[in-house]
Amino acid sequence: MKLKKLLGIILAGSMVMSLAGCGSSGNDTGSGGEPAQERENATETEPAQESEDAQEAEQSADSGEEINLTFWHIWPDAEMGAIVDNYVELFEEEHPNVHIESVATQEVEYQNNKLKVAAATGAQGDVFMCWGGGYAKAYVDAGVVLALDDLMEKYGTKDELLDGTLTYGTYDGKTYGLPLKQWAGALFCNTELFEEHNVKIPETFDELLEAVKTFRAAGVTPMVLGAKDGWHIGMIQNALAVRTEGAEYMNKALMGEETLDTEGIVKSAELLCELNEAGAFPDGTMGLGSEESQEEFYMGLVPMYYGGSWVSSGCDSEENEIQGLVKAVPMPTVEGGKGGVNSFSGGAIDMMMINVNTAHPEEAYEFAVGITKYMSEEAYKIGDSLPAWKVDVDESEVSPTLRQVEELIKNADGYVLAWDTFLEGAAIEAHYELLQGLIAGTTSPEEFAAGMQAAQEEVKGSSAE
Amino acid sequence: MGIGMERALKDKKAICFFVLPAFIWFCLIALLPVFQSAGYSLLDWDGIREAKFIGLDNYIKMFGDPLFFKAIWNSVLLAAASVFIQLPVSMVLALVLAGGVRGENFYRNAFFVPVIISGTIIAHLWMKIYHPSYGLLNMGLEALGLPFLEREWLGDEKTALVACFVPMVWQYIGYHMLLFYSAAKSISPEIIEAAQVDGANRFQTAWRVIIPMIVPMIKACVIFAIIGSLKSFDLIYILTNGGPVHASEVPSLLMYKKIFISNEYGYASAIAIFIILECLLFTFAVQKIFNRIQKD
Amino acid sequence: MKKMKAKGKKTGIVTTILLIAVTIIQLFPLYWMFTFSLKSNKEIFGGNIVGFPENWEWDNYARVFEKAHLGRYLFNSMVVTGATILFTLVLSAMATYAIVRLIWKLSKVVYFIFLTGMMLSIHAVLLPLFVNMKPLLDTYWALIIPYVAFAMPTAILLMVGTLEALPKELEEAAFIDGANIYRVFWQIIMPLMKPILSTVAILTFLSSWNEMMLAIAFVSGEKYKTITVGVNDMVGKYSTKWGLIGAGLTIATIPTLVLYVFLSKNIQKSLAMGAVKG
Repeated sequence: MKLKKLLGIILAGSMVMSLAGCGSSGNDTGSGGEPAQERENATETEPAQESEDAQEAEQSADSGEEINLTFWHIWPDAEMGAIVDNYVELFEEEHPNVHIESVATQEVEYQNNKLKVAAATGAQGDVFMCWGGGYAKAYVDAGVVLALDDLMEKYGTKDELLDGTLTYGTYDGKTYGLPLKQWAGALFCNTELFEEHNVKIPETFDELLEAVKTFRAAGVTPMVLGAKDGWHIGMIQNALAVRTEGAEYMNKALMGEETLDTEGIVKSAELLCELNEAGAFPDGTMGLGSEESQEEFYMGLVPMYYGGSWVSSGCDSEENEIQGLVKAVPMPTVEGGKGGVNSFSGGAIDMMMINVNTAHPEEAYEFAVGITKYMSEEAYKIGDSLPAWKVDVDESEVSPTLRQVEELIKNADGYVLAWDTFLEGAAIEAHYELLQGLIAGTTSPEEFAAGMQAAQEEVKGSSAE
Repeated sequence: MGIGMERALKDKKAICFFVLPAFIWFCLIALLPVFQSAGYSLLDWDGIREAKFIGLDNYIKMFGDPLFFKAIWNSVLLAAASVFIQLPVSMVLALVLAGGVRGENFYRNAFFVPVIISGTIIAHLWMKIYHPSYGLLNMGLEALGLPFLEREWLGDEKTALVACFVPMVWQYIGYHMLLFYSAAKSISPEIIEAAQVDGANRFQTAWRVIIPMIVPMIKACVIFAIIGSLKSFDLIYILTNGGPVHASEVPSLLMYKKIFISNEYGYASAIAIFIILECLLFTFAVQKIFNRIQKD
Repeated sequence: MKKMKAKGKKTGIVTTILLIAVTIIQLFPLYWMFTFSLKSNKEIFGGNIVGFPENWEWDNYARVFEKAHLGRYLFNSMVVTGATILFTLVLSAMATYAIVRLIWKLSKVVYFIFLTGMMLSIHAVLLPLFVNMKPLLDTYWALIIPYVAFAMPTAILLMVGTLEALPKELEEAAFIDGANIYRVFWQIIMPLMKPILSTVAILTFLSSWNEMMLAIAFVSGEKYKTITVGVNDMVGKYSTKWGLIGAGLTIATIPTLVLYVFLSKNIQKSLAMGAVKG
């Protein structure tokens, strides 16, 4: 009967599985000749077992033997994924005895689940993508990340990096992360819509407010915001705080050397509320995610998007409707603010780190340096981010919108990271909640600043113990 | 029962053979981690750095947190909506189908379809239904000439919770319908015919004959619905992530955020333990209530 | 009698309208998912939300397959789910037999312990489970073992209800004929429970096929990635390209639908027998 058939299928399935499990070769028994898989299978010579065990065994063997490294990253998609695969291939050609296994996990799941769970026991990949600042601090404290200073010295890596890119991968004077890229915030404006509604591209906050009102009156949603994602609100408020409080102070305050409940920070929240009240953000923004919201910008329906340099890649993508229409300008200046037009949100926060338990720190380091450099360049070309390494790229290859952002920051005199990458644990959640409270109208700007300070004190207090 | 059979059924070796594989498997994999979690709930721990023993402080913090009570309240509301809206709807559909209509099998399969689609998919579909500008709901209201009813469904504190409940209640209507249906079908046709010969109409037959006979199944469904509601996570996580401003917060989601966003592992474990105890408590309460009903 | 029939027919019209309305509501998501999987964003943002696609963008499906190793993921999902169902059915049926038919003091206690499993949530045990399972990570077992453990409580609850309702005569006859207890279980009990086994099979299928937390944390790399995770990778990245998401979601849903149709006859039978007695 039906059940027999079912059991047959199940049995067949589990037999194949046990074959795959028992077989001593990692060559997959059942992938059935998918083209994308072939290369991987061909180069795979090691059994599918836990990498650590394999490495321990190898350590005792002679050098020149097969070396297996796992590389954990966040690009399961085709575009960035192909860049990773390309470099892995290059690296393996140069190092015939080294095999790299890439493990791609979707970013949010990686950040919240995969990396956190694995790092709790030091079981993350030999080379793993991570975020500097507050995120990696727990891992560094727990001793699961390798300090890179000696290796950097040996390979002279520092000379190849742009200034200041190591700041957020450095803890207590030791460097743990190699920067992958840098970002800078800008206001991306759809010039077609600005012309159509006869609006001036804003240079000051008052002009921005004016533009918002004009667009709103014409029935156009003025700015992108998906307030369901707290960080998306943070982008705007954090950038306004750079204007009101200045970059230098903000960096100190976020590190806990100064307080977060200052007048300037209250002001940044007030400005955000002013924009909100003027109708700057989409209807129902509290229920929209960042991606849902930004899509309307890419479809050419919304004139303004304040975001990181990664917005460029969408602006130049053939899939979207706004190629060649976008002008990137700095966050408008705020009258009486301490930060000028040359201070930016941004910095280098995306890092490659090395597992302290790796059996092959040298090879892992070589690979980590190589891939960060390579990705720095490639991500630059497609408009995803600015390089962190001294790269030599033909300007014509670079995304035009990203070139505009690069022009803006030529005279940059200060950068402040997004707060949520600076802060740690509970303070991040508090930040998101307070921001959402501002948009929902349940939190006042004063409460926002006081709340941030309280959250910061609590986290710093408990980690100091 | 023969003596040989009784001896066979008391055979210790056989008992071990049948129950131990499942029991050991279950205890090691599912139950042991719960005890480990109970241990974590007594710690101030972020999941990776040094932990500190703090006794019951996490529980004290939990019971002092208004957000926690809000989340509990929301999940209890959801449980109520499941029991008093979802189950009655399922019951009506089940009774109509079990009463015999043309295309009975087709309808029953069609009603079950939402159950077999994964929660993630259901959530993404409803997100697109609720989209404030391009969503089906607002577009529909506009087409019907009712634009004043349009809302920012997921973005408005007043509507977000209800907007989350609708798909959650809807998705499992087919599940309970099927269980009620099967129970009603197992009643022997003679009993129902006898009632109809006595002059009872379909409604009276259902109310006086069928429903009293399927009380055990109703009890099981009530327990399923309540436990499911108290543990609900998937749909709300994708639809609102508990927002706006915690309007749609539920305990599992709160726990998830404490573990994975703010690294308060000890505190999250306390919430986890609470959810388990809460489910047990409700299960006992339902058992008690139904025992009384069944006695009457 | 005549009067009653007329009455029945009248209800029939109202009922039919009600049933058709409910059917539309229940099936609508499937229709919608499929149609928007064939549209471009331009079309959806242009106002064609529910209608048939103007341009049938089959390309969306091609792109989904190109972007992810869906074939590989489907295979992994089938292996994991297949093994999970097999172990769940056999182990739960054995435990059920011990709980319902065998005579021992602790049977109620053990039954109760199994039932508490229904109250557990996988998030709460993720980290300790990861530590406990460490030697098995990055194998199919890393998923199968926990899936079976978490599927057993519901399975046992459903099976116990069924077995309690089954008459004992057949077993008694078998014992009198001199069969031992193991043969009675395999040759009498298992065949009798067939319908409920298929119900449990589909419920277990649904829960393990759709599971994501463990599938992300416990295995790494393309080699073991399941279809649900693969689709999520894509939904996460292209959460705004409605067409691509629709295509991915449709592809992930088809196996479930097929299996349901395949099993639905058995499920109906098991339910008709009164699977759950509370």
